[in-house]
Amino acid sequence: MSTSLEIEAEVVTSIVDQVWESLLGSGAPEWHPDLPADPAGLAAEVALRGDWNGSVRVSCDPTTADRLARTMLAVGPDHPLPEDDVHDALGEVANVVGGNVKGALGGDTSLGLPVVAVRTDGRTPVTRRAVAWHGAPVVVEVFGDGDSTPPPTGETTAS
Amino acid sequence: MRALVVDDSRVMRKIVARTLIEEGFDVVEAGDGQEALDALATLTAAGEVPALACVDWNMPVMDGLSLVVEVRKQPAWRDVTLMMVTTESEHSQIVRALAAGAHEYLIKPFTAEGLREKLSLLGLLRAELDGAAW
Repeated sequence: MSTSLEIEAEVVTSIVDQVWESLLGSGAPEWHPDLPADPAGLAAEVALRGDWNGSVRVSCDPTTADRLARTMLAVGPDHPLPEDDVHDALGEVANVVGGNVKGALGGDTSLGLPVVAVRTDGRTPVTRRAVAWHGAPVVVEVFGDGDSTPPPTGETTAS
Repeated sequence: MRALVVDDSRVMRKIVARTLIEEGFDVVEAGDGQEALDALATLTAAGEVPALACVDWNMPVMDGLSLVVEVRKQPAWRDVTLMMVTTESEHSQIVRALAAGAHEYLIKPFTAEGLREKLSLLGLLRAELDGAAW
């Protein structure tokens, strides 16, 4: 196994733009760099294993996660939405971003299933993209091998 | 016509189903490959073999590639059109899926228009089926 494959920030930005446009029907403008972008709340993470080992994490606050899910499911604010669906939606965003990162990396790497948990800090990403979504940041991070520890216990699978 | 949507993400199943329903399909959902096989068996027993199955690749229990292989083993399901709908975007993976018997391949993320284009390629777009027996 090696970690010689690399993912460039521009590639991640392009992937995020494409995912936002397709799944959410909007652009993915960068979150203002002067504003804090470490949302306390949910994180969905998918592991990549093989020629490149690491993970892709998408995190945001719970209100933003709920809004993401409603947009993806095309349901309004008055429609009750189970927490499982919110987790599932965030997990699917991570899955699609992760799958495209895997494709950009090349090599023989497999993609794990998304896991959703409370966001924790303490890891340094290889690359990071914070985008603005309805007035709040959604952070997409790619972690390399040494930082790809499993999510904490108590997580739920995304689907 | 009936379609089977197989994805472990309920949200993604709904996204795919939304477009298929707009195109006139009756949609049945399954959360993994084994659930899909069970659904196919039930539908077949009822004489309602789906015309189309949209299949994710990475799923628990049984993945999409294994499902494609299992479906292709069954003569009763030879007319089921299989379309992979997945994040697996590498050429080698596309080749594997097509070699296993998938007819088409749609890479996530996709738009509703992208899905319709694939349906058109498969001859399953409602506008192109007007006048044909449904």
